[in-house]
Amino acid sequence: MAEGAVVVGASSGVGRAVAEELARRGWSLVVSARDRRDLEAVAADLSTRERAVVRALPVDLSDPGLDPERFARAAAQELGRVDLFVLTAGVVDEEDDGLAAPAPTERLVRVNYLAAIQLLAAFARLQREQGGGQIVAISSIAAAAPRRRNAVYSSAKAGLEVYARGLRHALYGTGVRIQVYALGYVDTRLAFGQRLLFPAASPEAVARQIVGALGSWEGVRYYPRFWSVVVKLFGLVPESLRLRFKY
Amino acid sequence: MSTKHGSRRVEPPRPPRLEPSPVKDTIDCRFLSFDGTERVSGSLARPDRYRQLFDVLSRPRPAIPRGAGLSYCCASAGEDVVSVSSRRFDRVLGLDRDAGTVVVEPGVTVGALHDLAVRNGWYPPILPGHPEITVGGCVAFDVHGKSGRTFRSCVLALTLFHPSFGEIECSPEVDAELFELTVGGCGLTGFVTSVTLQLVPVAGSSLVRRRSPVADLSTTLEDLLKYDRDHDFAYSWNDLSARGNSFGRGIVYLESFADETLRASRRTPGRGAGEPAGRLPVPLLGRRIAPIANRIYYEAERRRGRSRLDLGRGSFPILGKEGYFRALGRRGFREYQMLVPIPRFPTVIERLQAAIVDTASRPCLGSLKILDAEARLLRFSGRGVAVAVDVPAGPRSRELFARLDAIALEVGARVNLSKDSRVGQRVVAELFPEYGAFRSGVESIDSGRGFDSALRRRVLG
Repeated sequence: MAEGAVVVGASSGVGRAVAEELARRGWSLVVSARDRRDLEAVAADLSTRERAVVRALPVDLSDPGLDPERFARAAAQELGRVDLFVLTAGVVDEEDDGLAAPAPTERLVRVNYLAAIQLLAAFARLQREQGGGQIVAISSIAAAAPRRRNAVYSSAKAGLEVYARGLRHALYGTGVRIQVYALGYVDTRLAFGQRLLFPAASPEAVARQIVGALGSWEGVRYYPRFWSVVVKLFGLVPESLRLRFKY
Repeated sequence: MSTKHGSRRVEPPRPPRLEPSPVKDTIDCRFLSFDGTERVSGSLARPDRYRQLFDVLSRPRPAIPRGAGLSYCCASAGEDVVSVSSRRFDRVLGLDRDAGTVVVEPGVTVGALHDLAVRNGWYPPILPGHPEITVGGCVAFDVHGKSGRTFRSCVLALTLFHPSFGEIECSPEVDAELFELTVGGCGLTGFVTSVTLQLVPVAGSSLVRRRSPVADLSTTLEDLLKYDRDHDFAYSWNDLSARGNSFGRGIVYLESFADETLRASRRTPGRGAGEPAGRLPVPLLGRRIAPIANRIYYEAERRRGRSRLDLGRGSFPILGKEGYFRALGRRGFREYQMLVPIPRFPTVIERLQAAIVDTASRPCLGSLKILDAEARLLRFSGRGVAVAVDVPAGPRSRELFARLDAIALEVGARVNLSKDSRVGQRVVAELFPEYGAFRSGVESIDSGRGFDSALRRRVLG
């Protein structure tokens, strides 16, 4: 029987690429995201092209009424067993300078942190009951290098990373493994049209890395790998100097 | 407004926002036509979900769909126009493996369509020259490729979005007028969101390519007419840079499906073929070198006889030949493609040779192909022989192409708008009997000019 994976954020970008890579390798999938039509298009594409078993299960991380437990059970019912849970969904705000009103701030925190950790917790519980599984979450270099345009987003991603470290400790010895990728520039909607210091990785390259390295390590890693050096160098620049630059 | 106190900037209070601001979804962009001669400044949007797509298309600024951007003219870009990329809408929405019908989004490339079809025992009956071209682009220009028919013959239905009427389905049976205007409509009737295609059973797992040397253009046509029915594909390469009796000598390529499974050749990526950065600063195939290169190519091909190709490579004649476009240099090249009624072809040979000699042009490529598809609207379709001529861009090419316009008008030929970055409104209006019907049809669908391009401005005014 094919292994089963749930990909949240599968309608576009890295999530869609991960779903494609998994389908190509014979996984059965539940694909989830907010945009139902795109999600159904992705499901149709994967089941036609890759002959994969794919179900579309819409989920909106910005919905305060989201019931992560129910979503996890519904996904498990479709697949029988959730061997892998991948969370790529995220949202950014063009005016995320840290001074925004409560509503946009709440949405950023809800999608990138609160709903994210609630889903991770729900699937972690499910996989612990199953006796094992793998979890992959997507963070960002922004978590280590916050700036004036992503103040809330970067803090939410930093929170996600810290949560994942705690969760990893809690899951030690249960057979549930957790990997967090802090991604550098990726050629998705978030990076479109931006002047970037380094070339953006393609979502397909990120997906190949994620799927190829499933379960081979645990913790938080940068991808592409050179970002670990960039982030370290960034940390060496005195804050008093950094603040003078608009980046 | 902001006021300054010393070195600190104090921003006035902003009204509270209820929703996060979306990330920037359009960027300013300079577009270059594939032939390298037409440049426009516009914007590019690359939506990756329907919500964002419909939002971009519903804004007041005119838009135009953009696929791979491989039209020889700026058909998917224009001054102050938002080119809306279909590249993220590249999903296969359904495949009936028994009936051979497939529903795809417009950004699916013909290479991907080909691979999917062949894996399931089917074949797309009409394929343009390069696998990176999108299905949306094939619809917009009713392409023909190596086949004698055009893309229209395999399109069963379309779904189209226009902000004035939303998303509707059209086909030869339902909303036929909109369907006919959209196929070959240069993207001016709206954004195609899905295309239903009829595939044909694949007749073999490889292609056998036979090469038959020909002495001139009239012998080429004779051979094409003689062998066209007995082969799956027939077309020619002709040396139009040779002088005197050698003018038009060439190779007729006759291809048939065969049942020999070959190891699939590695696909050469087509990316960058149209980008100026990938092109040589100085044309390698200029007027001095083109005749020598053509002669070498002719002699080499004449000796090759037969070869076998795997379907992935054999289906796309330009695949792996991207270097040809790079060798034409950054100044670019121009192509003239006209569809000549067969009885008028001898006149065209005579006039073409005279025009090439008089303008001292040395075309780097010539090609013939028989087409047999209903002539409609502004499509490059009808019954006749398609004649293609490539020359490096420059004053001579302008002079030569003005002469070719006159020839087309004299013999009643149609020109291929997707291959031509300079043909003007007057010539197009004279060459296409249904020019008025196309123009009024587009204007009635798109009365607010929500869809616009450099091509529309040049050809429709």
